[in-house]
Amino acid sequence: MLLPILRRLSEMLFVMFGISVVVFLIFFATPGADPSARIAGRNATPEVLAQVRHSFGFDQPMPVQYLKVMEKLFVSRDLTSFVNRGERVIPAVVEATPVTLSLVFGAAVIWVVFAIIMGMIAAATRGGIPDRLLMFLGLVGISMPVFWVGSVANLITQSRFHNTWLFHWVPGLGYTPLTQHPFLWFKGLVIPWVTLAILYIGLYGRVLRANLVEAYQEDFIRTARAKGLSESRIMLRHALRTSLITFVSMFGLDFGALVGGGALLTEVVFNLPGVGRLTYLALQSLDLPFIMATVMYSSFFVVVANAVVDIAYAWLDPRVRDAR
Amino acid sequence: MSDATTDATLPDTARAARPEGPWRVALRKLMRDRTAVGAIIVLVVIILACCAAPFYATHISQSDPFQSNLDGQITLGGNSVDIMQADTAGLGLGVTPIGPTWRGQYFFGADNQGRDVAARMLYGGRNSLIISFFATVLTLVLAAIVGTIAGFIGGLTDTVLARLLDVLWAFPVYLLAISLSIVFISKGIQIGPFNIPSNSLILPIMIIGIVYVPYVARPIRGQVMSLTRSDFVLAARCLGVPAPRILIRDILPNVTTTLIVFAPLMMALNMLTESALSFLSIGVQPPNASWGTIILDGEDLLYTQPMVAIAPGLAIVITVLALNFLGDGVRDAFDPRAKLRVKKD
Repeated sequence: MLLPILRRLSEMLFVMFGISVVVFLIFFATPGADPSARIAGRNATPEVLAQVRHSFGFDQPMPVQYLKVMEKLFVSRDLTSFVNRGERVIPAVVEATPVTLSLVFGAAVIWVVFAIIMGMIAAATRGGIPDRLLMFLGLVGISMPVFWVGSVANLITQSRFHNTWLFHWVPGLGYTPLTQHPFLWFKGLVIPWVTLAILYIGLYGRVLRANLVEAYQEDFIRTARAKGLSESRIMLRHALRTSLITFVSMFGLDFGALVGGGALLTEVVFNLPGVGRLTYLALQSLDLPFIMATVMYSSFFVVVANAVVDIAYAWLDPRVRDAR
Repeated sequence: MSDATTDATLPDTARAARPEGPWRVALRKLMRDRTAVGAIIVLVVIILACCAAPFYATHISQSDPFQSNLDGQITLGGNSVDIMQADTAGLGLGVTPIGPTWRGQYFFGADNQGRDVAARMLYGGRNSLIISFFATVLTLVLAAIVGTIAGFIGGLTDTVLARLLDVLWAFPVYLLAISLSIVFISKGIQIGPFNIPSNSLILPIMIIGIVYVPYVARPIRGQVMSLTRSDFVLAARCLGVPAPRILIRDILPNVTTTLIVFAPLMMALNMLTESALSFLSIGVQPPNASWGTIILDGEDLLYTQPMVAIAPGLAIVITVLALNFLGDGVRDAFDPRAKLRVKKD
């Protein structure tokens, strides 16, 4: 059991190293512009440029530059923004993390619940009208750009139908911390949660339906039928449990990817001050140190999350656990 | 696809004559799939409409969709109407662009610059389609090359390429795209004689094309590996068939099938990615438009003239939905494993 974990962890470290090299190369070694000019932002004075060149070691060989950048990012954590003079980048990212986590957690709860319901109804009525309708709606959900869904949701809940009984409870755009006012936190996040969840409800519902239909071909389902079990018991106790394997492993990957940048568009549309919106604001002002930091930290989070999911998966699956 | 599997699907009468090739079989299956045919028709209509953009702009909308038109007027029901109408609410300062007229001119209304949204959508659709199509081609070609080389040669080459794919795969798509865009979009690329300006469509094509390579290259690598170890390749080896010939005759046809199955789904994904990048203003650069940039233009007018943002979004949804339906149909028609599943059901 220990050996595969160690192997997976070393793989994780390798991928993290690879990503850091790729990010470094993209930001500092791409042809076209002077990297110190990129870091210093628009209209930087020659003194600032010289200072940047020195502190990032751009007058030294590449490996030294790489080490200096990594030191600024992870050891001293004193990377500063040049657009918003003197703002520390790393603390700003840390401060924004709870917002992103709130958004993704809530959306995840919604999409898991609704996708399971959708997949079960579709599989139970496979070939029938509810099945076809749900699968069509799922495909529509997958085909909609999330930022557009967010805009339309804003249009409906903030403007057109805001003064009706249906949506008068929706607070203005923005975020209230959970510790400050839990109920307002919840109310403000409901619409973003649903918006973000729509795509995944469609995706997971379709996958679960396919797995359930496949499970219904298996011999153990026929055995269950022969034993005289009720249809609902067959579905819940026998078919669903085996069908959730793909579902669970997909969930780990998508959850990690959402926290690590996938929720960016939703945060922008709903004005939620999470890590994604930080990246977006830095993007608008060409604030490279900021983007580099959010990209690096978010992708590292994704890599670590994926490794944790793999290890948990191996530990949960008796075939893998007892193989050694 | 070996001949044995295709033979089994053919009626007895056809087997006596020269058997139909797997491509013909798949194509015939696709044409029998009503949803897929419907999706193809929708896509053809959208492509033709976008091709007719210059005609629409000069003859129907009668305005230049790339020129701001703040003082212009149009004739509606015999009356002359300002395109930018003075606000009646509040202090009466400021202007609001005209809403949808549902006529030839300003069908979906005007944007902040007084430009015809419907005409811009047709021009923007061209860019969205071009980018998502060529990004798909780029992804599939790169993925096929990398996946085939890694899977067929194996050994150290495979290890290096597979690790590289692992790194890119672990990189969140949007973050990689954002990193690449921020570096290239602001200044363009100048390498020696090559000069790609920052508003060129080649930049988003390259960025979107590259970020999805691992998603296709990994399954192709796996497929090539298992084919290389399969019995019929072993048999060919024993007969003394040279490796390049095995690659071309036995392995590439199978890979091509996988690529075809991936193509519509990748194009759908690329269209969504393109619109997202354009919405973040790091995709298509002004004065060019795409469906994503028009939605961004409409953000400012969301509560006053929502059609500016809604219409291009609907165009994206319809196109992507058609591509996804086509993708399902293509997979059922081309993928032999899907064929087995359908039979079992």
